[in-house]
Amino acid sequence: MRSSPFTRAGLGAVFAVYALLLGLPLAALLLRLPPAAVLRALADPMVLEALRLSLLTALAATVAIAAIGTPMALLLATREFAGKRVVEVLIDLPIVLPPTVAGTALLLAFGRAGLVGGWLAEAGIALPFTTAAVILAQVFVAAPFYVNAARAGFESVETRYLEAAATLRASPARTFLTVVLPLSLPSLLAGTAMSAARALGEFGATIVFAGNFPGVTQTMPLAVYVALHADLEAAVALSILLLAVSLALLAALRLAQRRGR
Amino acid sequence: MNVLRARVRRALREFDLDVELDAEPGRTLVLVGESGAGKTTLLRLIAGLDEPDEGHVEVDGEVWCDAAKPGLRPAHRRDAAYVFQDYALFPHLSVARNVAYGLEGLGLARAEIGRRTGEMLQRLGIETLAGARPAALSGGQQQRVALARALVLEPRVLLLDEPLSALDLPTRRSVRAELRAAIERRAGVTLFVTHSPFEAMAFGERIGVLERGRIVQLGDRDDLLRHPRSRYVAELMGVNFLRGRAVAATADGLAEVHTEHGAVHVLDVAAGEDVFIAVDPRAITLHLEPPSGTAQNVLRGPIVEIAPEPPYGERVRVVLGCEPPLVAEVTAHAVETLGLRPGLEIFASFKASAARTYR
Repeated sequence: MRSSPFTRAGLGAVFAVYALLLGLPLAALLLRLPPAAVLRALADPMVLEALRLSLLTALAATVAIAAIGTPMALLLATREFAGKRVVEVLIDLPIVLPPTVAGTALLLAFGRAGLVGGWLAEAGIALPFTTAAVILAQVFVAAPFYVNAARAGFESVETRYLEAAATLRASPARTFLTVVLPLSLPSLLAGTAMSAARALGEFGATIVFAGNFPGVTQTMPLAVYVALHADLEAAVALSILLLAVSLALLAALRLAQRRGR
Repeated sequence: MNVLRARVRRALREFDLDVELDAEPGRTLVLVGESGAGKTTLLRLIAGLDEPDEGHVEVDGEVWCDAAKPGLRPAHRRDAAYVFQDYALFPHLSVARNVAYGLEGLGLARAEIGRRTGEMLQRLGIETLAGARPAALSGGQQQRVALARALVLEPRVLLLDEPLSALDLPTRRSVRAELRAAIERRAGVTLFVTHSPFEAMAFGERIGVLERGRIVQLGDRDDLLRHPRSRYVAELMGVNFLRGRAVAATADGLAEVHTEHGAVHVLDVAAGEDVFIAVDPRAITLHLEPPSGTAQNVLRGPIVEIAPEPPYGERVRVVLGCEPPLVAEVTAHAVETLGLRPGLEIFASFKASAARTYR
């Protein structure tokens, strides 16, 4: 759509509403503390511990999502099977499911009294309230973002390239590695960035399923929540840090998409 | 000795592709037909990109596909290279990597791949483009890359799907010469499909005519030119084509043949015989008055269309609405001096000896 129906005043109104909604809170966050105080707060061991844990778990979750999500995305992009629509809905569900519900479901499955938790406990594995539980919660809520982007990427690879590869003796596996993956790489990177961002921001499922233990399950969003009650400066500093990471991921996403065009 | 034998049937939207053909190495087989006649489907069946409903494809006695055993030999395990109509070059790979792609899967040494790729790029005059991406190339350059990518594998079967049709005319001319040179040297089977009778003549040592999924005629160039067996082939070759039954033979060897519309006189046909008749358009002369000469065939009718022939329009095709309908080819000078124009009633004549008959 090239022609714009906006008058100058209308344009101003649209921007003003968004400035109030997005700009004002962000400005409040950024202006609250002088930079020196932010840096000082970031040196706090609790902040550093939460940062380390957040990066570690989000990275692990993203790797796990790529590992389990890529085959599923490929399956959805290339095969028709009975119940495909149901699978699609289930995969999308965590996007709309309240994270606390996701956490509860995870707890009921893997918790000590959960469906398989008892067997796991007998085998000496206790998931709830561990770092592994944090990662599991993040995978649960963030996976759909990757699967959907990867699927769209795979679907966008034109059949003629696959056929060309086959007539040049490339096995389906080689075709996947040398044609499908490179051609859908921008989508895969975009999906990775989106799911990483979602994993990094995860709060509800984590606090229900993994709890809030500093150094073990207290990621940055949880630390922000805790700090709000005890130490406002630390909460602000943590928030600014999270904001910076989120912006960096968004920038990476944009870059990946531009490469794809 | 690589011999391709295919007997395949596959349902298309409006009709079945139903073809039986043999192709030998070293002699390019061209299949010519209108778009939608099933040419691409046939190539895809041979390449393994589609499976036949019935039949089989074998090369040197090696069965490539058999409708009774689906998935027998998937495309990537067939020694056939395919040049696609739209080239389908890998957009993320350089020209050199596109050409090397097939070799890289064969487990050859790196140096060997580099050498063969380099030679092929040089042979097609695209060595300076080695590092470029396909999107940066012209149509003619892309066509050469697509050809190099297929030829470098020295495939037993080379399948060319309208390889020139996406090019503009001047490019087509230069690429056509290169393509000819490239495939003439090949040891394997080459199958070329095109909708252009001109290309069929330029490339085909053997030419098959595909019409609504069936090969209606298969023969060498001369056979097709001289003995078309369907109106479609005749039109492709630009010859007047008639078929009919001889009803009366006279003493001087003259016979009257009744065609679907109107009768003509020909030589050396026995009464009751069914024959094909081809009349060279250049053997037909046009007159404003009934001609007084010795021509045994004189037909009267209106001019339907006048079309100058390429390249210079010195020769003109005149489509006549006589019975049977004919096309005459005359000089532009004749058109002018006779004052020919569409709608004009005129006389067309040709000798019985100019009507070639065959069975």
